[in-house]
Amino acid sequence: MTTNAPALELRRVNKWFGAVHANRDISLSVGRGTIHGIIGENGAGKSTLMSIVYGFYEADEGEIYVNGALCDIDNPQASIEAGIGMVHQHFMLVDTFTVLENIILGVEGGNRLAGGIEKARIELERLEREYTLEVDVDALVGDLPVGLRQRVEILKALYRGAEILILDEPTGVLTPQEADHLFRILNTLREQGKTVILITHKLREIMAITDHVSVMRRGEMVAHVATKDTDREKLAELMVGRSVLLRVEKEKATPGADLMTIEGLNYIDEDGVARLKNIGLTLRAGEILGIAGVSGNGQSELLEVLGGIISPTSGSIRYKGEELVKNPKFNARDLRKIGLGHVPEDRHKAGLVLSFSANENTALGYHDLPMFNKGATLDRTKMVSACETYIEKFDVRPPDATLKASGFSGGNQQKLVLAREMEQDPDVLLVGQPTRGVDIGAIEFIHKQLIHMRDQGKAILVVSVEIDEVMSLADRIAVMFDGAIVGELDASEATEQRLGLMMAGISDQELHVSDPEGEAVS
Amino acid sequence: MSETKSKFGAPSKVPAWVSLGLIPLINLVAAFLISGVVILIVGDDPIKALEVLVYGAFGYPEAVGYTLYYTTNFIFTGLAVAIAFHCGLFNIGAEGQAFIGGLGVGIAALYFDFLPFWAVIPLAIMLGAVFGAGWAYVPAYLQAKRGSHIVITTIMFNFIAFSVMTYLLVEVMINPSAGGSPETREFSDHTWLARAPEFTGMADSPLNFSFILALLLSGVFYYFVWHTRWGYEIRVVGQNESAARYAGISPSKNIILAMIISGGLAGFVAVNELLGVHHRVLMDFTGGYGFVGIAVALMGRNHPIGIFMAALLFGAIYQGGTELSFEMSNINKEMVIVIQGLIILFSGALENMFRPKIEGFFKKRQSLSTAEV
Amino acid sequence: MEIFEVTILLLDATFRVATPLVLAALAGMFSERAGVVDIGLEGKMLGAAFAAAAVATTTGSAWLGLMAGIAASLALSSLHAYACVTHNGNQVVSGMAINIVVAGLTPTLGFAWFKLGGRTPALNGDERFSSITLPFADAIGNIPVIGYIYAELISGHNIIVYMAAAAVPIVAYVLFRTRFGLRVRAVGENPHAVDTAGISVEILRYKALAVTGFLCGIAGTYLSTAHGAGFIRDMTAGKGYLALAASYSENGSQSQLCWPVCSLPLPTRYRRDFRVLNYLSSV
Repeated sequence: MTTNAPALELRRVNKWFGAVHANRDISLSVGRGTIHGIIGENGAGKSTLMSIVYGFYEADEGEIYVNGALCDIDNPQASIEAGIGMVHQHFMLVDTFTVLENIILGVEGGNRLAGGIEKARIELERLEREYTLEVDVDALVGDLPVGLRQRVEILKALYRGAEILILDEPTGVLTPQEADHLFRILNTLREQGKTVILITHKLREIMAITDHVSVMRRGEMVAHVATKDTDREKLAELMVGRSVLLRVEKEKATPGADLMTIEGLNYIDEDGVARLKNIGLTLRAGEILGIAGVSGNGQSELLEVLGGIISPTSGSIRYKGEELVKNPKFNARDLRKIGLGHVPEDRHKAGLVLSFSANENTALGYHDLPMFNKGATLDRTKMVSACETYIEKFDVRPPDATLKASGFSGGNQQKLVLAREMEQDPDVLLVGQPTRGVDIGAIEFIHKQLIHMRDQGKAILVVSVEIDEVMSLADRIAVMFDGAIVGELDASEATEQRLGLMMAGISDQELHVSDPEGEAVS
Repeated sequence: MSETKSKFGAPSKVPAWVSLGLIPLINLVAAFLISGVVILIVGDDPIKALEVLVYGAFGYPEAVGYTLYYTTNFIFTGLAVAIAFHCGLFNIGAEGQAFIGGLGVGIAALYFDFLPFWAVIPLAIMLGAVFGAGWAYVPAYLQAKRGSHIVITTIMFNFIAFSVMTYLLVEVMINPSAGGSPETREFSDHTWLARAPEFTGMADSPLNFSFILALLLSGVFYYFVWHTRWGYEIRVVGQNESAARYAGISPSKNIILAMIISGGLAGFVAVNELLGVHHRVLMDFTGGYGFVGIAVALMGRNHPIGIFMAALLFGAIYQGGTELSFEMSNINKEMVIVIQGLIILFSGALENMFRPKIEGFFKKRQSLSTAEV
Repeated sequence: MEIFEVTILLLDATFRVATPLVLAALAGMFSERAGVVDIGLEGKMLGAAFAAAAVATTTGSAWLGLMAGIAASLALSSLHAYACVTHNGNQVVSGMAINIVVAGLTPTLGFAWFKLGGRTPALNGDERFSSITLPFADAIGNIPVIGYIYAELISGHNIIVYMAAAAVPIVAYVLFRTRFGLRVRAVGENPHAVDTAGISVEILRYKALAVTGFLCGIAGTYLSTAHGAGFIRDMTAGKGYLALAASYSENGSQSQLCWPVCSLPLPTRYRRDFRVLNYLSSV
């Protein structure tokens, strides 16, 4: 091992999935003791590449060098032995185990558990001190908040002696402040000589923390640059392959009548946990209301309640003057009929039946409307012709109404869902995560469609965990934390800093009191 | 390479004849090969056994009648299992549902036989279906409302059905003059279903009007599943329950609906067996058809045409296998069960063993030929 | 006093009847903890019962029979693992298929080899596991209550009954106090966690199913060479399904469920009714 060798080096790595060339001739060199960002759109091949490094997939061609030595990484064990640790986007933890049990899984240190656990406890105390990663090692992982679970994942990697730490989209579940804390931890790791690889699609993070950045597009590495020599616009252009607008162009909203008024809405789930607490919101015609917040703070439940999928425990939802709660019409099917469209947060889980054809998905939720029926029979020709219209209007590719939904890319799937909900001409549209997992081209298109709909005088509720998206789309922004609305403000007053604090549960009023230079004092 | 081709995750299609014809055939051949090995082990000639099996199933008119009679049962149970599959449910209880269906048929034929044939036969058919459906309703309700696992509950309901029928046949409905065997008196002959020889002039066999019913129900099944909104709802629930909830489709209602239809279809086995052949209620008339129905539905890919083909295959194995145990000295009637089990194993549990390789072969050929163009 | 004696005798019978159920339920629990549903417990027990009886009658040794029973059951659970783990096949279908194949194969082979209509010859002497009289059982048997309990209830079972009793704490220890147990519990809860920890999910599940096969093998052997004296077709009579129900629960706290169900003394009358699976004989 030579001391000047890079910590990790990839040479001409290729990976095919069937006919799909997911990684094409990738070369990459990551210097020891640096934070290296890998950025690219969804589907650019970032995750595939890192799965190859971590041994989930084997590269079809190419070589991996760790500290200058050629490594044959064909399973995660080999990767761990080479000193590589990975923090996955979806945490790889066993919820019913304690932190300690999770950390020793795979490195138990003997057949009997008792001895290994005590040794691990001592070692972990040292690691926690060294990297300021406090966590209660005897707590059940299922009881920990996401930020702490992420620390468990980092500890897990360090406990295995990782010198290279790969983090895959680590901030998706964090508030901006929590993300900053994570970045401080990463800085500490760098100071201690560890190498960090950060995979993300967020330009802000790349600019904030990395030393070098590599850009991927369509399975290829298109650029390696030092972070200080570049800027957000350049990186965005490299990611997409053309210049892009990072903000949506739109006219100022002209809000009309209140279409939906929500007051004192509460929802307690089956386990007795209060998921929604005294929610009050108003949706107005010709306006987009954005809901910001870290995922898991009640946004999903809010959408499900408003969409009629679950019933609230108490509260009132008035739609065009009619009370919906405790109303027999309050179910997903009948709400659609009175003009309420719903684009769900997760198109795979809820928005589409992936094994159905595009045209069958066109009728999902609307399958008992006269437009799709002829007496007792489903009218298949009408389903196909409706679907073909949608495909044309929304530029869905490939333009094939008989193709299974699973055969479309993420962006085109999302367009299918949006088309279905928008083309029924609802007065109120609920949209969850409008552009999650969607490429930038489709993001622009979807944003334009939403604005267009707003300008036609419809009320739109957009829930997104992407703070940029909420800020650029919404006319008013409400922030959710722990099931409650922390505050609501006009989009023009919103700054990332202010929203970030609200997402952490600190309301505007508290801010003003604690801020000696704020207007409240002066 | 064209733009659409290189899209991530876009599945390249294999020809339909490969996925619907070649792959099931290969699985079938594998099952027969292993069965041949078993026959070798017990000391007989597998080639001769296959000849006997085929001759026994199709070799003479009477055999064809028997084969189609068994096929009838397998169509009913295959459809029963398939409708549950469409809703994402595993109905292992077709056996018990068919058995209890027999009770419904029996009640109509024994206690309402004062009615003329045009009233009592439809009544018996209806009660058979209703009783089968009722027996499926309880596990369905438990799954839909309480989350009890339907595999476990339907297995248990097979046991309970067996106990209930044993009790009823031994203690309540028994025909005292049958020499103590647990069965009812013979139905009055105007309740009997017409047999094939009577209206087609075919050779004598138990094949009866139920076969026509089976074909009719297959057609109705196709129409219902793919061309009505109820079938659509059942399929949505089966494929993606949270999408169903999102679309305002109630999973619990559809689970119950699908299971009731499933149990009702299973009840038709009793129509074929009791109204068509035995003309009395007796033990064990369900003969494992409910279990084999799982294999039929799997092989038939839950589609009526596939189910008909698979049912015909199993009907032939049943009939040919009976012949086998007469003709070959070292083979007894359980050999049929081995063959069935192996077919379920290869076409169900091990369906992914050959599939990727075969599909890969055809995909490669396809992409090569498109590349040349 | 009479009630006391009846109770003891009933408990004594319960031990005998519960033995295969306890073993099979532990087996089912192990595979379920590893995230594999195994409705093939029935088939594994039946296969083991046949193999054990066939080998015992051929070699004259019950112990060789036990080994054959375990081997047969292990082979079947490897098949289940091959289908469900390696090829990601449907677990319920695989279990069903194994049950049906074994239900057909055992009488077919029995018929061909022993010419007794599918059963094996009756086992005598060393071909069976006979009752063991524990030390001092005769001596203290006359002491009221304690002596009686010792002699009638504790003593006088065959070795497999004691194995089943020992299996309970052993399985609990393995599952909750060893590395293997930790990994098995983890793979059932979140296989990805195990995968990323550098442990092969496949191998782990194979191992867990091997434990299932091992325990089922003992359970099946018990039926034909300890409790009974030879193999009869469909002699498991639904015990595998009963054990499955006992070990089954959605939330992973299934072990509590085992005991009430397993300890039910099953009167012969109902056991006969469990014959449902014997549908096969009515072809």
